[in-house]
Amino acid sequence: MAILSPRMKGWLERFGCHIGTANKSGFPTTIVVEQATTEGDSVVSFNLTDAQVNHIKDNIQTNPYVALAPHAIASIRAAYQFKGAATLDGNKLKVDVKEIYCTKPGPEAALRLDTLPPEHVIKFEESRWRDVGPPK
Amino acid sequence: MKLTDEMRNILKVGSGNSAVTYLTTSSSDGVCNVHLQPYTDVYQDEFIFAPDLFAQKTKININENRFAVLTVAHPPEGQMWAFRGPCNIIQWGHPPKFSFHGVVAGEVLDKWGDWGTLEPYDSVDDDIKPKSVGQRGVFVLKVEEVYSCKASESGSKIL
Amino acid sequence: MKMNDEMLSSLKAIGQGGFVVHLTTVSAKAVPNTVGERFVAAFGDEHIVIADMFAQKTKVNLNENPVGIITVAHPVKGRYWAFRGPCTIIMWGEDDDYDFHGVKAGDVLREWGDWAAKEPPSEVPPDIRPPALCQRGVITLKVDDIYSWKPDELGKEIN
Repeated sequence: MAILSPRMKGWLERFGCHIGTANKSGFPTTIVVEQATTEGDSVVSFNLTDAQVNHIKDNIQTNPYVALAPHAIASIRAAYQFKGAATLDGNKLKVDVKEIYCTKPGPEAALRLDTLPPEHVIKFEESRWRDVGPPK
Repeated sequence: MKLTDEMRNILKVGSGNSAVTYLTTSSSDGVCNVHLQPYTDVYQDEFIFAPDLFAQKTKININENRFAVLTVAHPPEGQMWAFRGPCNIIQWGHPPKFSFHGVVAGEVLDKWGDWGTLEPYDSVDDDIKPKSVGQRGVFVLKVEEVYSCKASESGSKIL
Repeated sequence: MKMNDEMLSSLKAIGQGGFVVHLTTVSAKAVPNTVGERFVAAFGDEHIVIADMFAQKTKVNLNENPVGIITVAHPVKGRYWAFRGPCTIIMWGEDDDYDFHGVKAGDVLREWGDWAAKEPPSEVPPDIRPPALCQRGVITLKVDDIYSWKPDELGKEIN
């Protein structure tokens, strides 16, 4: 199970995500949700509009594995990517994150973080960004 | 499909309004990857170009499934666009005559193969600026549809 | 583990009198990937370096499971060696002082960060020579154990 760091949670909750989905044969559809909540160590939830539900529900039913990338200024300051299994319950999309990647341009691009101990992730974040707390 | 002036303005290199974008690709069995892409340009009004600087899974995905969606990561009001269509990477080493939907590798690499000559890479804060870049090629997305990713109308067709 | 003199003197690019090797890495879900590598060298007596020219799945694997095996692809003189140990890619942009099992990133990049300039692949026939090379870093393996892959002595420890 992946463990979201406090920094990740702060940016996810404040700015939401671009959510990449695909059908079983790999045809992609991306939606954008501008706010999220986190639950426990690994769950990110989004409240979708009816239009967003209709846009991706077939993909989620047939292929629930999705990718999340932080929205807006978080795309620059919080270069992470999260992947996990999504469930759609009414208008609530819940993603149980299984994989976490650093996507900061440079030598750390695509470094997998969920396979590191949580305390190493915190140290990594402190070494890579000036801001380690929630977004201001 | 031709992009509108407003779209071209935020995707074109050196426009002054250029946007950070995300490129979503998928493996052949449906595992998505969303790749941060700060640099884009528009070619012949219907292709979006971007440099391959740090792509990994994006490239693996495109090598097995040539489709992508490009979304604006930090869109101003009214620019919640998603551009979707066939996508490939034209790489250094491709034969100059290699063509992807009419886009010819030699021409692409001549102009866009060293993106740093088109725009500086250092327009971001020091702690998020890459210290070194090595461009291996150029992503080419042929825009075949544009849909809205605005919450209230997600998926509605724009072009 | 220290490599012996025969290994140290023969771990080099084929044009320098060495041999092609295969590098095997494994995803976090235990899917292996094995690729041929021409640009190889010993770095000190406990590390082997390989140019990151075209790595894709190798890099994804090392980013989630930093271990590798280097096997001699075309053995002569009984060199059925397999070198195994922690493995990473030291990318351009890494801090000079970053230490990977006893080697500094700056030292590795300064010596092997532009391999094509140092040892151009001039011996490779034109039909299989890559037309363009773009190196992003140096794959670095710390040798922890060495075994034989010769069928009748497979797994036998060497050294």
